[in-house]
Amino acid sequence: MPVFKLCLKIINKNKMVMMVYILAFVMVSFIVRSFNKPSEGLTTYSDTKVSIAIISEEDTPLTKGIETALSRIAEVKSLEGYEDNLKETIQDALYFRALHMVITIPEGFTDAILAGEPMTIKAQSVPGSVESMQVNLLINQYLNLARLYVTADEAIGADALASAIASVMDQPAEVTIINPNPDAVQGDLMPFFFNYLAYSYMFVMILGVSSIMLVFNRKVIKWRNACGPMPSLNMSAQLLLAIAVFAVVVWLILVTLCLVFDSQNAFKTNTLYFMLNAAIFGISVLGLSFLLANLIKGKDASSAVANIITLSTCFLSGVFVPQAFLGEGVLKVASYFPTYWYVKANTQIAVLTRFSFASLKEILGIFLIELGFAAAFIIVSLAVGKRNQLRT
Amino acid sequence: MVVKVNQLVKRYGDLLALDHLSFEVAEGEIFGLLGPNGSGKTTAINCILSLLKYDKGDVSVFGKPMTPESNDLKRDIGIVMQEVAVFDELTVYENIDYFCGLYVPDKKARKLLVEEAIQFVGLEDFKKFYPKKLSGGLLRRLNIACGIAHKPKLIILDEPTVAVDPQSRNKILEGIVALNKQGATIIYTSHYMEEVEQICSRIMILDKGNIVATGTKDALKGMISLGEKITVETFDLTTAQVDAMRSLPNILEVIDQAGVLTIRSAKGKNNLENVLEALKREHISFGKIHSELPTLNDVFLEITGKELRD
Amino acid sequence: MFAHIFFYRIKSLLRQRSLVFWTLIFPIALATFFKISLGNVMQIDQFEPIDVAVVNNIAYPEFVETMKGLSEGEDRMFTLILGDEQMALNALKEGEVSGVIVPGEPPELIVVKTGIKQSILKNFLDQYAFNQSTISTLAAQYPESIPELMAAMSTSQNYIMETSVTDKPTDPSLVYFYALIAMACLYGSMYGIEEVNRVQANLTTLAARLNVSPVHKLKVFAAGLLAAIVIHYMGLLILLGYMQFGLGVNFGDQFGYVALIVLIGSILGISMGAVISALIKKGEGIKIAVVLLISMLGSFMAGMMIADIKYYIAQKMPILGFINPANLLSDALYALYYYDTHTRLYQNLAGMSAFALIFCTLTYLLIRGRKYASL
Repeated sequence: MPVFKLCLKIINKNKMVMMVYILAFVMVSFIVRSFNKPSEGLTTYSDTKVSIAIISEEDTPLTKGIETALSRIAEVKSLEGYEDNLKETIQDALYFRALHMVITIPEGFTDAILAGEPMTIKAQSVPGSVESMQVNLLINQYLNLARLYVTADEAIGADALASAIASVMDQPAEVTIINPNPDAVQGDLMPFFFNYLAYSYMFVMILGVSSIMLVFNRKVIKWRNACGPMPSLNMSAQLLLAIAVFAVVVWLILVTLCLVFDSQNAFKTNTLYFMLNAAIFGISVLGLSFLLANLIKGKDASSAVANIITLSTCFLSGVFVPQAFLGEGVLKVASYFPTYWYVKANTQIAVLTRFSFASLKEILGIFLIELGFAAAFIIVSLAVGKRNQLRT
Repeated sequence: MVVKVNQLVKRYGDLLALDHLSFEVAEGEIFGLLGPNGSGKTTAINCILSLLKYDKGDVSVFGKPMTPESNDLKRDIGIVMQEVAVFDELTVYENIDYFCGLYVPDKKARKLLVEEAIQFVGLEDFKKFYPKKLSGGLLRRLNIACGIAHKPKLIILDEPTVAVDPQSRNKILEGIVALNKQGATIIYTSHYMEEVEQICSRIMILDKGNIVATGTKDALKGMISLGEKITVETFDLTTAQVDAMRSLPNILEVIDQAGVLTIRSAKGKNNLENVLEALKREHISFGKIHSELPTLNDVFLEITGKELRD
Repeated sequence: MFAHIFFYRIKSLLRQRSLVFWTLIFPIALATFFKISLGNVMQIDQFEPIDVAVVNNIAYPEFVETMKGLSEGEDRMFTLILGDEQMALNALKEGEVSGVIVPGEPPELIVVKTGIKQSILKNFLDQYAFNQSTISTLAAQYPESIPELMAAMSTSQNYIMETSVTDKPTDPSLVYFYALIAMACLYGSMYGIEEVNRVQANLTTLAARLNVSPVHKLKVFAAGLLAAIVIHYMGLLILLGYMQFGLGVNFGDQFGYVALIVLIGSILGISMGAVISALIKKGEGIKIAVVLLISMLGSFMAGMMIADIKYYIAQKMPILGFINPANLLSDALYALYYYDTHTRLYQNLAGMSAFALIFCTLTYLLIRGRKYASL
């Protein structure tokens, strides 16, 4: 199988650049892993605690009450000792996310609340921070309750008000997190790694396959091969076999890395489906890179195309930014790429807790779509190959 | 002396690339550096140009010591490197103008020189071409034009004809002779002995960093014991006839094969005359008769015991 | 002479398509993808109804009614499934709903994981529970004020006034764009690689050819560097222009400073490439892979893909942030935008300049020799 062997040699020669991208995958995964420490058990509901600071220009039972209420959902940090350059300290703290929010309770606040007059608390927060929404909600809850008390009893004092609200808020809704299936994957790491895998997989495949095809599509080589005694079907078969072996090897490497990085979830049933999804995605990427390789003309172009195609599809399909956050228009465009479906399947696999046919139906449908992409890519690239052949 | 090399030693690790090399090139010469691949020709050139560090010895050009800072000397040197050294992103004209501009700051003067160089190498029709669009031979000509446009007094050409078609090769060789006639001293390296024989006024043969021989081509050929090779087209020779030829004086070897009698003679006079007489004496009828002097390859073969060609 | 080399270097560099691609087309394309995919991230204003299952407990008809009321119409808050506990839990396990609500005092929320939807559910239930218990307490104490209480409860007042940290409008997506600009600056290292390749005789024949000409190689290098900076900087200005006017990225009103940051960034990038090119003797591919990796990784750590990484590093490993050229660059841009004073900007600029200076000095030390041990 001379063609097959040659392909493997070409890939071997280009392995350095591909290793760089696999290495990038490892590094990113590593950073994300140390960043997202796996949660310790899931039985208690705890909001991620935001860091806030409260600057209170008056000290009353009511402001104390607010602080106590907030300390349940937030880590309240002190800004004492920074009064001299308060503004810069706050800017710095928010800049580095040491604080997510700083609230300032103005002088005369308690009196205004007790009198039922409108009054606001100043809040400075990290722009667009979801965490600070929680703080906002709680403060509004607290003060709206206060408003009810004041409505009923205009003479209620700050002390009575604070203790009344505290006792009400002492009984929040109970939250139970159930683990419906211990075999199901837990945490967000595994889906993240598998989503991110799309980036490295696609890049390495496009680069690898185009480095092979660049050799075989060189005019002189093509002519020489055409003059040789090997039937072109046999040659194509060997070529595809080599590419397939390549795809399997890259799949093995990347999947192994995913499993190693989230070993906690390595033996869950979901993980099997993640792996299957990655394999099916691999087939469509194989088709795509085969198609691109037939269109690419030079080495420079291959790395340019690999970067542009990989990054654009990954960005639009929700590899880096969750699909839920992407606009409808973007997703519509993205749905013309297999990456979109791959990520969509991953998202669904991540929440799978039962593996009956009914719950798998939609995911299997997506698998079929991905395979459809693979078939389409291969058919188109064969057509392109034929056209190129006729031209030369 | 235009170039003077004295006791030059260059090592690459354990490999001795130049072994106490000494030679001189006089003004007006076409000095040929001949040797097989890896014999140290390019290393010697790079040392002369102060591109390479060398372990011992010294080099002077135009009577002054050559250093990397000898810009006044470099101004009068033209170099055509073995590998084509041109910018892929610049056109033929721009490439020549760029390199010429490193020597000739004046724009007007340069324009004339560049045009002249283009004509000289015959690239008039390709001025706007990018190097990638040129054939191997044309590319080599561009490479030469880039080296000689500023009319240097000393031109060093390092294998300028490698992988060049015969037509371009002749054009290049003619050009070199023309440059020499215009007054330039030329150092020419090659492993093609025919080229060196054809144009060089003096030849130095290198092998493994050592000088095998130096001299004019006739002087080199005179160094060896071999005389001319005489081939006679004949047929149906008897063994006695062949033996008779063998018994001639000053004859080293006689081969009778496929109707061709090849006679190698040692150095000496009247070899051809002797053979002709013997042919007549032995009543051997013959068609063509042909006499060749020994080649530089023979010279190399006799001195080093191996072939010059790859 | 200098001008001669300079203009030819400009011509050469402009005609190298892969350079133009990496330093201009690629960042522009990336910026466009950012805009497309990040456009929505920051403002999740389209609220989608949350699927929720409520256990139909007849003991709490009001709660069920409230839930029903909130699950009607176009702008509904929930999409409701009512049923017994078994059915509700099944729906949760199948992933059909985000949570199961068991009415009670207080009500209970059952979920399989935490997330935004779950938080909204929890907040809603808290609010409901608090209001219920407040109203029942107050109604018992002050029966005469029940109508007023009901009226007060039906409205909700906002007690928070969000004020900006800076006088300028804030946009969290800026971090991404700044990291991208940082990356584009660092991609200038390709020019650095190219310029060193053009003068180091042991790297290319062209450079060897140049070394035998009567021009000092450092002069050629200086002219080449200047040409590289000019070209790269022009490209960066085009990128900035595209971001500002094409994509509507807001750089604040201090464009002059932005241009200065990017200029130093360009020099930083180019000198980084020069050092790498001078250090790694052979293999153009390896050199490019190394600079791509450094730029990509640096940009990643500066928050190009996940903005939080930047803050994590700033808090936990500030040194790492300071030795990351990409971070210095994007930080300089962000500091300019964010702070009223320029202290932090100057710190970053100083760091960048120090890097550029170190890189330039190293390059000089590495390439000043004009004789080579081997070619």
